[in-house]
Amino acid sequence: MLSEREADPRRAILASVKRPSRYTGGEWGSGPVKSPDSDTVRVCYAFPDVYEVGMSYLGYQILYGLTKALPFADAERVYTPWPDMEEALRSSGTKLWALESRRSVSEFDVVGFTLQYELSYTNILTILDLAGIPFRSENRKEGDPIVIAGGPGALAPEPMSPFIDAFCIGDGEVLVPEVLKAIHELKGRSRDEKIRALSKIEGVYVPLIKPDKPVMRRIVEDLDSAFYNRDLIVPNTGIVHDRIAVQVFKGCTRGCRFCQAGMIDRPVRERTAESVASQVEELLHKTGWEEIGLLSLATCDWSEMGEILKRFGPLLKYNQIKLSLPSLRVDAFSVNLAAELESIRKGGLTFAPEAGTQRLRNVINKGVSDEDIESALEATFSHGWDRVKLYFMMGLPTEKDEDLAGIHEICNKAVSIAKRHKRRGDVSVSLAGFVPKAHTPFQWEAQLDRHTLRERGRWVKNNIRNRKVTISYHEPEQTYIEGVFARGDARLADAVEEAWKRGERFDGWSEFFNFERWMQVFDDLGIDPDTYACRERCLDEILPWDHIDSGVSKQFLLRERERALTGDVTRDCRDGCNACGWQGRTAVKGCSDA
Amino acid sequence: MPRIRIIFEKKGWITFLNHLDLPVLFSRAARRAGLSQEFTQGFSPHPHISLGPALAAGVEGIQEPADFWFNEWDDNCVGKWNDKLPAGIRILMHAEVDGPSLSKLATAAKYRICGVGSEFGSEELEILKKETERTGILYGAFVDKGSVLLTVGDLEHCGAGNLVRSLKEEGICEGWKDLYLVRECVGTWDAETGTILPLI
Repeated sequence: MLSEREADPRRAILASVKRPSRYTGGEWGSGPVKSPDSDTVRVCYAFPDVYEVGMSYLGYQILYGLTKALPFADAERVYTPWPDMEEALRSSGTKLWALESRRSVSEFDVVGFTLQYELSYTNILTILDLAGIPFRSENRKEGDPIVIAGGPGALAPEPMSPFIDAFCIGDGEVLVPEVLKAIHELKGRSRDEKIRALSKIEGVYVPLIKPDKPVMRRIVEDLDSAFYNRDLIVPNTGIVHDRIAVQVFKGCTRGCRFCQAGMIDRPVRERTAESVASQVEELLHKTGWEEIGLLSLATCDWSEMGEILKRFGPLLKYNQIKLSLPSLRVDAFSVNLAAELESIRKGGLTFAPEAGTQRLRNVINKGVSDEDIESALEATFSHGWDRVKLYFMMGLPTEKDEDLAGIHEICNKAVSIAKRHKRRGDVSVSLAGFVPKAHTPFQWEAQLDRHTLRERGRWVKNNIRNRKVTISYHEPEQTYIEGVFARGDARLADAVEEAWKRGERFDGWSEFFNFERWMQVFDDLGIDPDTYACRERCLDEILPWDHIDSGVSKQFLLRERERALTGDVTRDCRDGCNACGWQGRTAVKGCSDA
Repeated sequence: MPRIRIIFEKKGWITFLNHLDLPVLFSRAARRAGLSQEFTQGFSPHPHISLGPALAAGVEGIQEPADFWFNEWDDNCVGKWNDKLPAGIRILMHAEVDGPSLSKLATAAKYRICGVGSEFGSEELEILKKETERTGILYGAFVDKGSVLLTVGDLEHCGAGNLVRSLKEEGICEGWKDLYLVRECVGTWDAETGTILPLI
């Protein structure tokens, strides 16, 4: 009888929340779950944001496939429940389940998080709490999963250190198999033994066991021979980046001084066109996706780009597939490349000049000249696009009024170039507040206070005299909290926990972010957040991330800081070694012989 | 270009997938199966598909129709296609068709409704009949094995959402979570025989 069918109470939960397909799993390419009676290490990859964002993250697609390929391990997934789902789980007393087997997240051997963004930290606590896993390592008992975390946040791990049993510093492709193997070998043994074993793996940082020397970031030396996906999970419903994602290189040679990714993901390691092409062909066939994204920190710099276009030319020509680039370099070459990829000029192109004057772009070592900007805009409108989106930062070290005025000049130039090509020429500008990040040459700098940041944002927005230009700036409050945690220490863990207890969730989403609540938490705990965000550090100060060795030396960062303040540009390291610390430390081309 | 009508089922947790996600889901499965779909012309070409009347998320579908246009088609295609669909979606029948569009043909549907763990009887029957008459066309209704079987017309206006709301307003349930809804079939209403004619 129908009324007796499927007694699973979770069905009622799904029927009461928005977008229930976020929680149902069953996507093509997911599973199958390996047999439950084997001695498999079961890993649940947990993403500290909602499904549509988490499913767009290539890192988990890679780790999922890699883990499932290990004979002794299996992988499943969970994403942060949207607040309505969290409420439904709590009120019904239901534990958060993993999508594949629908077993509780607490039943896994390992729960793995990625630290992509400081404002997602409270969501990690949501997942732990809904799974019934104690927040702090020291309170976890036998039978609780080992909680690991990776991603860029693992290189400045202290604010999350009490909550994570082991941080993986560096590329998951090399670290995850070693970590899971160690746990597999100790299956049935105590948590303490497992965590001790993990602390002995190079590149793993266990906060409960203080390392006697800095933890060295681990890297994949050769991407073509490392694991890459032969299959992907294809979501049933639309996600943020709904396409095949293939990483074409790691690292970046440009050396922008504000960019954490460009510093902590060194050295550059490129894949060959041949390997990428054969992977893409296989993935097109296996996933049914109609679009491919070639990902990296600067795909236009990929030396095999021309070759790949030749390979995919026929497919692109007949619109059978679409190729997209995540970000365009600011120059005519990149625009011409984009023009080759898109036969129809839909929408517009996006560029990131980052700063309004040549002086300030030299300070941040953004290797983009006024001529580059002009030629990129010229090419954009001459190819027939109607719109450009421009990303700038404000609050960069040494920033002056004329640098902000320079943003207006670039916008006006864009409008007049568009007019010359008889294009509509809509320019939209997004202004982000600069957040100094750990392991960059600006890690000692004070972040601009939020009042000044707002004033500058308002000034740029209100003083543009061109109706074709629209300017928006990021909420300075969110930027501020991001800045507090970006260079935080372990004391901040109390604030994360307390803010979560008072209701902070999805801080990266402005509709949920509550600045007053954060400030009240800091106040109640006697923490001065300004000392983390807005204080200039002494150059000899011991920094909370000094025990993590990204591979880039402090001497290099100091040298780059010096050069920044004098406006000296450092060359792209494809043009010659700048001795960042990787030279001689790796067999990667360009670094081994430097 | 063959126009292929399929009758498929949507069962299990995938019933929570939105109706509007189905074209992409079917198209990607078709690509995986190596089938060649016809694309629409124009500024933004996409595979030519026509779905049946919207099936609300959470409602199980036993015999749902959809039309797809292919560049090539043979009888082996449906097996390959089925092999590449996610669990819970399965093509049960197919046929090459021409003539009126699905939206013209799909004029009636049969719903089965009951509570989770509770049977429905005459009280629920009367509420659902009244609601159907208010929003659409009521072709028939009776109680069968603890659930209400409802045959409705004017599918655009008479969807599952209204039925659930009426039961909620009358205090039968709190909402979707307390109900099982199944759409047993979709087809063309035949006044002469008083039945729903199948679309294949």
